[in-house]
Amino acid sequence: MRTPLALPLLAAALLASGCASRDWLAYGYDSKHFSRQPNESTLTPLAVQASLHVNFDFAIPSGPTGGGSTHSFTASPSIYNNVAYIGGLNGIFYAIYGTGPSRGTMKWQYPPGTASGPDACGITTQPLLIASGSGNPSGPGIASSAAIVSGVPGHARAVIFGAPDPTSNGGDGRVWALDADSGQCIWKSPVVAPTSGTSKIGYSSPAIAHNRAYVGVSAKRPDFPITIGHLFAINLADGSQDTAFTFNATNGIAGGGIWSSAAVTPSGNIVVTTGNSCHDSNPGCATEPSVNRALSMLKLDYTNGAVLWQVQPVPFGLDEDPDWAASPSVGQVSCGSVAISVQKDGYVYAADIKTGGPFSNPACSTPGHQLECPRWSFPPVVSLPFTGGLHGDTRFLRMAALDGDRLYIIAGGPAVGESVPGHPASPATNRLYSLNVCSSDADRIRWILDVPGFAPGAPSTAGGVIYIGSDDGHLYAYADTSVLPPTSFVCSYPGLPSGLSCSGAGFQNIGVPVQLKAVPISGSVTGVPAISRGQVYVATTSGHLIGMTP
Amino acid sequence: MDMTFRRRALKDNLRASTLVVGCLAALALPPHGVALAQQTVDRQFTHTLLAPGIAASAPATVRLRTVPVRLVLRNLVVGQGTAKDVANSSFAVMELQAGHVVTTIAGDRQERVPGDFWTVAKGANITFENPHPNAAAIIRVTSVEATP
Repeated sequence: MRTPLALPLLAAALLASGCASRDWLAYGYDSKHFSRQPNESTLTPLAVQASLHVNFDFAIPSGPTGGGSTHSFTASPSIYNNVAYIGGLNGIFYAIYGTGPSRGTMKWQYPPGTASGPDACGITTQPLLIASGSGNPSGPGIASSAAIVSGVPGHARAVIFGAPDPTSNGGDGRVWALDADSGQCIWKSPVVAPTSGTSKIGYSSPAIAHNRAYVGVSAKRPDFPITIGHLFAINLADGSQDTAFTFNATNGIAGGGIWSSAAVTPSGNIVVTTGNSCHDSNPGCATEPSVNRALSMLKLDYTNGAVLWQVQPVPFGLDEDPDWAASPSVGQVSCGSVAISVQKDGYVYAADIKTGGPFSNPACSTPGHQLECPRWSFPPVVSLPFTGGLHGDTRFLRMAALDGDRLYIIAGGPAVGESVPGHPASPATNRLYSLNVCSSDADRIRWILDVPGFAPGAPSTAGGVIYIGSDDGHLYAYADTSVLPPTSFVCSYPGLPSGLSCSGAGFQNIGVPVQLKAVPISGSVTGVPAISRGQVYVATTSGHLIGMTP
Repeated sequence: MDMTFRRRALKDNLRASTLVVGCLAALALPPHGVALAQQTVDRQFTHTLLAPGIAASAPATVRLRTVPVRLVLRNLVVGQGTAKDVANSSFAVMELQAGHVVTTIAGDRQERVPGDFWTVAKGANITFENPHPNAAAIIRVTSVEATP
């Protein structure tokens, strides 16, 4: 009897595959932030090379339903069932059809264009904006990418994001839940970033675990002044705050703002990165506070926010604003579970997640600090914390993508921190590296790509193709060198040409991945291309949400 | 003669010296356009191979106004390996900006970490060793030369 046996097997297979969704339900695919779509069969390298093109192009509409005046997307889209969900700096959240005859049109917007009265969250039609004192591009509207969840009772799917509340003191920051199908507000959380203070919910996207959304706050107007970083846990069921979970980045006057999105470890704990201390920008902050979680990657206990380890490569005294603004990518690779991210000065760190804790290592600690060592850094560093060097704002802000042990990340590389005399544009902020996560330092670099433009967005990947937008008005697709061999080489040190002068100076000639496609689009991409069901979605700072298909 | 300073021990000296050199440079530096015009390397690349194991950026020259002296600023970059007996034609202040390097000057072998700076006498040779793969030792060199 083949059929009765085959059906359960098929069901089991579907269930198993369902664990890895074809949707793109959060910033970086899910709360691990691998920015990888594991179930993609349409976007093959050949198909992308042959015909990737714009399938739809939605632009934030002008007029009375267009919200605030900043028609720009700095959040990244999340995708569920061929609908893209994203909020704009104009204070409007959109659900946009990605396929079918209505593709590129609104399924709904929130707040709605017209309303007969206040909804369950007290909103009629006013956009979710901070009235004054905010700063672009993490405000004044919605910069927090949405997570699409199933844990809200009575709703098949809900859309969770952080945004200002225009009905509350000119834009107090709250976490919001909308019904994914109807766009109606389900709940809004208590205020987590009051306008009376110095913080707002900026880029921090909710990390979903244990029926909670974990969201951080950063400076309301960067960095004037900087704020104290906090991470909050919001119960998905009703939007209440789980007060058992507390994380404060400092007990000083300011420091450790959370510009990034927390990630969730395989065992359910939280990894988060934090911004600069008060050292760089506050004259009243000459002494390091006794609790200093700024400029760190931290693992937190998901129940109470207790610090389980802290990697803090740049000490208080060297803080020249190298925020750890990029979100961590966290999860299993062939050599264990790691958390990986780039700090704004261009150094990449990979830390072992570990089980239990708290952990620290005397080799990376200093008096008064219980710090952990990373497994590796890129470029390699002889000892941490640093005792010198230049650690400032060199704009390495983008989250990595991770496919198995293959990491894709924009980083400083061997030239990190270099300022070349007489050469004003020497920091290479457009160099995308593919790194071997589990190799030795000598074999760390797999390939190097100088992305066209000056400031690319974050990469994502599916089926051996890497997608990355840039500020030159293109979405680029490249073939990983495991798919297509490189046809050109660059020097691992960007100041030298490839060839003998590169190797002669002790550097490596490294392959360059083949460009499959450069698709012209409207505006710059700062976020992550989302990949779902054969389509690549990007949002641009000129207020376009664009879908591309072969 | 090699005079070595360590950031951790002589932070104030470091800052004072850096300030002096920086102020001199700021007073005498031409606008960016002029500085760029003085470069001879390909615009795409900032460095050329100086000697086996070491590359250098194009020199940026700062002419002092009251004395017939110029400051020559350039970066030396050492990849993994050894650059042996690199000639130093002028008195120079060297500062390790990034990476890790071991220098040998007149038989004196010293480990350098970012923030360290040291001086090298005119005519002295210097050997650089960088044991780390995929990491550059980036050394800012400020030389003092008589104006030709």
